[in-house]
Amino acid sequence: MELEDVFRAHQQAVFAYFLRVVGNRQDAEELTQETFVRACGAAVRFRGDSKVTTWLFGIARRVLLEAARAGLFERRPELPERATAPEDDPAERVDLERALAALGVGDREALVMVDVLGFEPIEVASMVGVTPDTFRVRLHRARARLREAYER
Amino acid sequence: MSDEQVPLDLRTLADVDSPEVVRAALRTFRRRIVTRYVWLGVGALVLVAAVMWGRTPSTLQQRIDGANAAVVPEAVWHVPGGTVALDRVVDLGDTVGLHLIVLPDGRSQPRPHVSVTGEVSSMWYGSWDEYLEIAPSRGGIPVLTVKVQGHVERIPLDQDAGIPTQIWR
Repeated sequence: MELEDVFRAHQQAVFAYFLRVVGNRQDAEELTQETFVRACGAAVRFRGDSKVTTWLFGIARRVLLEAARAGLFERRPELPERATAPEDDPAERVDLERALAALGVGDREALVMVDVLGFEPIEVASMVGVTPDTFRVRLHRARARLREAYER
Repeated sequence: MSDEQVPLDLRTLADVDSPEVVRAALRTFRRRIVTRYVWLGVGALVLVAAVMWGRTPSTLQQRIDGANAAVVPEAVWHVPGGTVALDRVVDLGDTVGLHLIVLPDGRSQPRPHVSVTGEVSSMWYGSWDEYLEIAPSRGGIPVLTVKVQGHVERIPLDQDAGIPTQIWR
């Protein structure tokens, strides 16, 4: 499988990760592109010890952290713009987007990785660099805050 | 587990309209690689240029000391008030370089002033070394003039001074 095909297969997931965490389509697009640019350079060192998704999202996280350090979240309004869906959003989806957007970046990232993109908590814990138990607690709190924001 | 702990189903949020970025990313990657190599090349060129420049003699003293001596006459002239020695004569291409050592008789004495006909440039190096670059006129023998305390001595730089005349041609 060509590198381009591998990237293309993960393009939507990586973009969804950035879009849901950052909340801005233009930033998400730039960060997604930057992730694949870095992945091109890192591909020669990828030995297949981990899954491609884990490797790629590890790069995406680093890109996000650098952008955050460069002031990405200071520049942007806290409440993100509406994400464009392929079809009209049902009301529940809009409410979920709104509730997710109301959370902090850390909560958003944990929820996006596990509940939106379907990563196992243990995988995300490894990417984030915390123990699985610590991440489970973090995820539990994020889910509770999401529900609170959703029902508000 | 209470109802509040059942996570909300967020899987629909993964369904986003993703833009095409892979091709642009590959282009950007290639451009960055090219740019990196261009900068590395520029850096290497600058480094080589700096090394070359550091090795290239830039002052008259460096040019004369760095050149192969055409003649080492070891000619020494005593003039009232000082001593002048011609240490080296070197071929600098279109011009000829002279290294003179000029010493006053006493520490408190003024240093003799020296000049040579056809002089193009000169520089002092340290207290007693003078470097001169001259453009010898066709067929003419350059004359060294030494002035010290009102006394003027003119010394032709010819065969008698130990300098073969063909060097001035």
